[in-house]
Amino acid sequence: MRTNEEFYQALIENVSDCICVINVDRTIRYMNPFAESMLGYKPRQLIGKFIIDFVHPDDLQKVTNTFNKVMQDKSSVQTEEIRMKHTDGSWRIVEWICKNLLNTPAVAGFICNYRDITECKQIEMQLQKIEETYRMIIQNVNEIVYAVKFIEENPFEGIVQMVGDQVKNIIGYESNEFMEDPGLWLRLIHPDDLPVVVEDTQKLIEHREKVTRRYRIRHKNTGQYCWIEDKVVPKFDDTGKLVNIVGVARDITERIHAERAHSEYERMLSTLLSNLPGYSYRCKNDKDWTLEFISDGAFTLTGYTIDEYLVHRTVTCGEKTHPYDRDRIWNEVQEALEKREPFELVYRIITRSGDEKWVWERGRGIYSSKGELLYLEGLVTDITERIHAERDRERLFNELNSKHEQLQALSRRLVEIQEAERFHIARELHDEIGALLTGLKLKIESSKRSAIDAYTANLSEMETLVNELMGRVREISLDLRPPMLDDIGLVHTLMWHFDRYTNQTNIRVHFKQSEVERKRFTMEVETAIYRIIQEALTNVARHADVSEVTVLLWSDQQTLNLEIEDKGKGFNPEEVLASDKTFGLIGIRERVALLGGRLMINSSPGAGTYLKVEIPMDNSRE
Amino acid sequence: MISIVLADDHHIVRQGLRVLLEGEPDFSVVGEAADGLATVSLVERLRPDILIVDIMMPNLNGLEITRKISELPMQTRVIILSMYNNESYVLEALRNGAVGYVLKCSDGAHLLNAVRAAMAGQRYLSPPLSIDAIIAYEQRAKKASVNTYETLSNREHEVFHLVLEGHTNSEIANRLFISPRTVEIHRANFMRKLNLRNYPDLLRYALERGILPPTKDQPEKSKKEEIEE
Repeated sequence: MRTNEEFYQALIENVSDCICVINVDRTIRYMNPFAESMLGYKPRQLIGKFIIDFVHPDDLQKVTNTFNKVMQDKSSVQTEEIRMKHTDGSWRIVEWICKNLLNTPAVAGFICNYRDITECKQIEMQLQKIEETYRMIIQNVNEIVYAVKFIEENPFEGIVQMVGDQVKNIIGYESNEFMEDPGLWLRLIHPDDLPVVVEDTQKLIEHREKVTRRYRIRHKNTGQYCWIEDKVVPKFDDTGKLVNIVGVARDITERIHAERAHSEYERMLSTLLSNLPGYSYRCKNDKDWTLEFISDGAFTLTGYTIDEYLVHRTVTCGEKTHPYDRDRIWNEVQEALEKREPFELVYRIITRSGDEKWVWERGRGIYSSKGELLYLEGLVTDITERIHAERDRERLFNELNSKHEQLQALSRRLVEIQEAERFHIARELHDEIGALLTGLKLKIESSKRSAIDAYTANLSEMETLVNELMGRVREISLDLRPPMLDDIGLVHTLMWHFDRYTNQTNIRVHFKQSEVERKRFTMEVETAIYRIIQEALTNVARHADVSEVTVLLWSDQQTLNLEIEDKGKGFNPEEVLASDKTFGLIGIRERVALLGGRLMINSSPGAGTYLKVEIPMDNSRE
Repeated sequence: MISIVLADDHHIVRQGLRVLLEGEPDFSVVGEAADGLATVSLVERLRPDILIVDIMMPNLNGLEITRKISELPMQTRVIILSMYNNESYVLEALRNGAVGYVLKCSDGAHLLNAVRAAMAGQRYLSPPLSIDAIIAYEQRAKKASVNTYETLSNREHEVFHLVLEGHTNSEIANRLFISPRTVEIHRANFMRKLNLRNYPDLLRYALERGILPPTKDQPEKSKKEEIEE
């Protein structure tokens, strides 16, 4: 027993814990040396003192309460944190545990043990301060800082440990909403972005390194999505196991919009440039116009690739301009540069395929701050079509002009012919008919005075005169327009005409026709064919110097065809058409054109003449 | 009594003719007309033995009147009175069914002769016209009228025959010393003239007209040509 007591005595005297026994009157009955030294006292110095004399006044109530409690509930143990006074005047924070052992005869008091937790407390407070600082930082940055405990079975819905309050500003949710509902975050992500987020997160887990995720997330109230850039870092424990994921997310909606706007602007610019029928450039002011930049349009315009211009330098702008334009371009540009004015040029280029294209260029010199010429910049546009259109217009205008002149000449000629015809008819009437009528009149007058036998003789002379008169009238009328053309048709009119022609000119006409005699064509067609043949034969008689001519007339389903051929002197059709004084050929051409037909004249001096006419026959009459 | 209708657009001419005709005791002028269409209806109504009609009439000329009347189921015989002595007019008048053609410049007796000849079922042409001259003219017209094959030019004929014999364009070009392109043109020309579309058409055309020359053997190359068509 004695030994046992000594054992406990030694034990208590030497533990590094504070143990004391307090009497009912709150005086200290026993205090082990460690407890005394903790407050700066030597052993036994505190025995018999009131414990509360060493307690911080603010904590007195706590101590009192402790005693009261253990008095009431004798089996309870009370723990309290109180401050106790050190001999150096400082307060030590202790964790105080009190138990009622009044009913234990060996003790008959309160057992209190306590330990100094001042250091702990200080560290704890420091930690609290640091945490507060961090919290302040976290709450005041624009980013949402969050931490999620990683759960291997459910890597996307771990336990949300912390979410910065900014989350409310950005997407309208309270941070605790995420803590309570781990799946919320995933559900807010834009469906289109979800696969990327999942992939990035798996990368984070597998490669164990931080990732940056970009995705859209839906706002709680507006329902609109905002862009989030989310930098996530995996955290591992000592064994290398992934324990949690810490992330910083921020709203990059504006930045994305700005980026979009910028790329939209660039795209627009490049669309504009690529849709330009030409290219822009920057070049040196030398005879080669050595390029520093040339836009894609150059390929479309010139057929040379950008690489050929800029990388391989196998082609220069200078050598691809038309040789006739080179010096002019150089001079015009230098002149403009001297005056520091922009220049405008129109010139030809030779494309890769050897074609000639017209371009329009506008450019200017770019100068350094010191005023020295750095390079030229400008735009080159394809205006080939415009130039061609202008040329066409010019050509058409000239054609129109010459047609107009021809028309005027024709109408002049028409008036002349009309006058000549009238003159001819007047002369026929006067000279032929008039003379015969005069003769007739004289005969009648002389008959009045003559004897009866002479009267009879006169009468038969008069009859002869009348017959002659009728013959003349018929001739004149046939000359003007053969009535058989209307009454009988083309073939017989032509046969009649050829007879007369042969009589007058001694030129035989070999006439053949096929599928024309029994057919009637429109009056315009028949008249045109008749007049064309008449005109052509007149030309043969006048110029060809032949004794025979062939006329071939045939019709098929679509056309009425005429061929007139002689083996005579021939002529140059182009020259004659250009300066036809009698308008014979021009008249033929006009008649054919009026009926929408085709005329072909093959002739050259010494080689005879072949004339072919085709008249479309959609308007024939049976 | 021989009933006669007179058609001329000049009143004075009709008057003169009436005097001339009614000088004959058995002639009776039963009607007059001054217009082509009126003439036809008048003849239809009066059904005279003889119609004497001027070739130049308004609305319907004498030739047309003649054709219309000869198509009617009537015995009326038509005598054309004309200023024109051209054979073509006479031929056309006869073709249209006229039995007499009297020139306006001829003696009045010729018209009376024409009427009597018509009544006797004979044709009558006033001098200097003659049936022989008309027949000669008709022959000339017939001679001028050929089938389309004969309108082919000499070159076209040559090419036609060589194609018929089965030669290719380039062979023909070599043989005629012209370019294949020219052969092509000649060929297209006569095919169009003759309204032929392909080689079998050409062969049929030639066979029908007996154009196929008595050549050695049937052309072998025709098949190739046919494919090329």
